[in-house]
Amino acid sequence: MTEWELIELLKQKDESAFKTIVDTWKDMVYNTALGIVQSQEDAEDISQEVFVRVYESISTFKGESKFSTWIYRITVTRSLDHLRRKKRKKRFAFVESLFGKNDELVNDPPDFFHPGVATEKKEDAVTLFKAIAELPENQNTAFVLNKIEGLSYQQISEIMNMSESAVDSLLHRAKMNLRKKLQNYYSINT
Amino acid sequence: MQNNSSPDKIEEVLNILDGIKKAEPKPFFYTRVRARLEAAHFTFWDRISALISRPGIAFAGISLVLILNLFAIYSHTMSVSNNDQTDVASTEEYSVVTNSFYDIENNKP
Repeated sequence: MTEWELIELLKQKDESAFKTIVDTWKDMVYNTALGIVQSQEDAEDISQEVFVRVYESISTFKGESKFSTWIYRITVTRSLDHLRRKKRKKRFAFVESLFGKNDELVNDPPDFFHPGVATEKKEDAVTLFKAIAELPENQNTAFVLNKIEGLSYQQISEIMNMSESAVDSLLHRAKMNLRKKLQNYYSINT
Repeated sequence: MQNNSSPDKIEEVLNILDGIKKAEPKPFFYTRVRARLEAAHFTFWDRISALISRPGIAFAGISLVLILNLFAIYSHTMSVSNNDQTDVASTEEYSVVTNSFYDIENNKP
């Protein structure tokens, strides 16, 4: 069955077409969300949300981009929304703790270790992911799509709705920032 | 001793993600998506019908309807008997004489 036939069937709310779509793209969605939010539970939650969204808004998909690009866009948007919500919550909890309304400590999330990285590189991978999490949103997204999903500049430009040269510049800045952050980290911790 | 902040080390860390394996969600992912989809489609009216079909809520609702009915019947009865009393009082007060067929037939000059 072709991708278009699947999409047409999903528009008619066909159960087996939806299952095929979930099974085909679940790893891609989960892996991207995991790279951005750096938490397995949150990535699972976002992946479920993405497929619910795909099911509900398939009628708005006009085929102007590839289906995978459309799913990537939903995933990136949901993941970034999730990060923003989390930051807002953290800021709010901090303000509450200043006024003595919330005595709980505002803890940083635990160290994230991506399950796809070799175990012997665990310590350095944790440091790298901490640095990635501190990057501005656009740089973070471009870096994750390029390094974790292995997408080309052209694919990233379609997902992020920008030119290839803009993606190139984003990735260049992301690497520069990561080098600085890693250098700071290792010079303090040696 | 190796300097951890050396450019070589930094590049090595930056390249850790080259050849990274793809992470996969836990098994039975589709089942969980399906459950979430069904929960999302649980509409306002579904929630209302689920709420009123709970035994406590249903019993309270039926009792309320019965009490309102009894109250309506009681007030109607009271207003009817009050009207009867008012009619008698008016008749007595204004000496309204009602003619019956008997009076008409036995009407002597």
